[in-house]
Amino acid sequence: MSAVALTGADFLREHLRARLTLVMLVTIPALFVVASASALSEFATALGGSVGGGSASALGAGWAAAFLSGALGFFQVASSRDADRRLALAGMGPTRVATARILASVLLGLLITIVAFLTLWLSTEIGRPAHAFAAILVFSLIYIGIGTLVGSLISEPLEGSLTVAFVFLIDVFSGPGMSDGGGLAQIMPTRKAADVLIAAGAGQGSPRGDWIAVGLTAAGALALAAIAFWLSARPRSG
Amino acid sequence: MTATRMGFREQARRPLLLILLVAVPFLFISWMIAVTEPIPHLIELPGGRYRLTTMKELHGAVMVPITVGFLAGLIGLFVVQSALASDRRLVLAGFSPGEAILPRLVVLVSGTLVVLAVSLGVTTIDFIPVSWLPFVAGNLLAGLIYGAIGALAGALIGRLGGAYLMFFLPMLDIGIAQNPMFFHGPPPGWATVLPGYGPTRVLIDGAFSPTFHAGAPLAIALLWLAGLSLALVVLLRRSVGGRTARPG
Repeated sequence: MSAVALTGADFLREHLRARLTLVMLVTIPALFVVASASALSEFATALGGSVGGGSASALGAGWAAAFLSGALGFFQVASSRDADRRLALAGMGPTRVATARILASVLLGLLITIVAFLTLWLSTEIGRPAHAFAAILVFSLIYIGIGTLVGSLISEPLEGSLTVAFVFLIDVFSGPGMSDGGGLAQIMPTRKAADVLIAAGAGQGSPRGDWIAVGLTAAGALALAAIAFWLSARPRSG
Repeated sequence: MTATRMGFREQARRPLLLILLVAVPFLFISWMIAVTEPIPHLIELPGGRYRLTTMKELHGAVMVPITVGFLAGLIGLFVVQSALASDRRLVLAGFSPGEAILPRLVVLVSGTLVVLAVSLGVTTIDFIPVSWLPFVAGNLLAGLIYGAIGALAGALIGRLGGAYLMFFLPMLDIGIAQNPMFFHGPPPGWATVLPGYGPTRVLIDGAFSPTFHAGAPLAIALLWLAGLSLALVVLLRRSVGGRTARPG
């Protein structure tokens, strides 16, 4: 097994070492999807949006995955900066450390996505489950990118968490289903993923252009995360 | 006194924190109220009375405890988490456990009061409660209860698990389970056992009723606060004072 895979597995173990952290990662998305299922469509109507039924539940699953992944990405960078730099100096180099971190983050994002998706699938009738799964995973990957970017700029946990929450709240409440879709919604990172997720919840497919946009956004987020991890791990002069 | 002063100085050295503690409530509350439609909505007030209001007004009332609970929870989590190690050293240096943890609790309560003041100030631009005292008291109780839950999470679950919990619990509890935007009668039965039940019923009474009928929810909220505070003090005393330095 390569050094990157071994280190990635170590990062994963480090993250899940505290049993209660794992419990939170599994129970929180499940609880949120179940509890928000009926509330979200009513909430969307109150905000001038138009999402309901399976689409609203699916959107809740995407949000849960996104918010948890944002926190995950932030703490992956903020709490491991010194250790990663030492690992890079010890011979691994910043590129391989960053790759191992990305690997661990994506696997954790996948775990969150699976829990959110399974809860959604078991509690709501989803017309296009494969599309919903892919869109929830993209929500997760986008927020891993946002969380790591915030973590590379802000090291204090309270300030970093608040910044991730700030971005998340603007993103989701101006996004499709929760607003009229104009203005700010056009530039929000999860806009296209939300379109795909809402369509999947309603049993509809999405146009090829939406999938390309979703793929590009996810790839961009992962590239952002890779740069953030690399910058954190690179040795500093002096 | 010295430890408390140092605790405040530590927070004052973090300008980004102060900016976020003002910017998040300001943007979140004013924006949410602004985009909510004035759709008529019938709600049940404590005491079994009903009142026809609008989703916009209701959102104005409930945005305050959601925001205060969320922010106070995160403050509690990270203030306690970052303080545990240094407070252990303070105790080893001769401070009593009480002297070491009191400043942290003062910082936590002060942070909650700052967030509450900003949130109330922003809300009053769009929404004025009928009775101020129960409205403020309910929101303060929500903040203190969630501040204590955040602090307990920091000490028991750790930083990461605690962050996951505090990102969602206030939203699930106050934002969904207790939120009259999503039901017309009293909150569902399962919601009454959650920590946000008492404070939310008190502030909803204050928001929409000229007379106070939320005595039982107030008592429940005070019991939650007393129980959580007691658990927090016991846990923190044990955390900072219960261990001796290990060689090596």
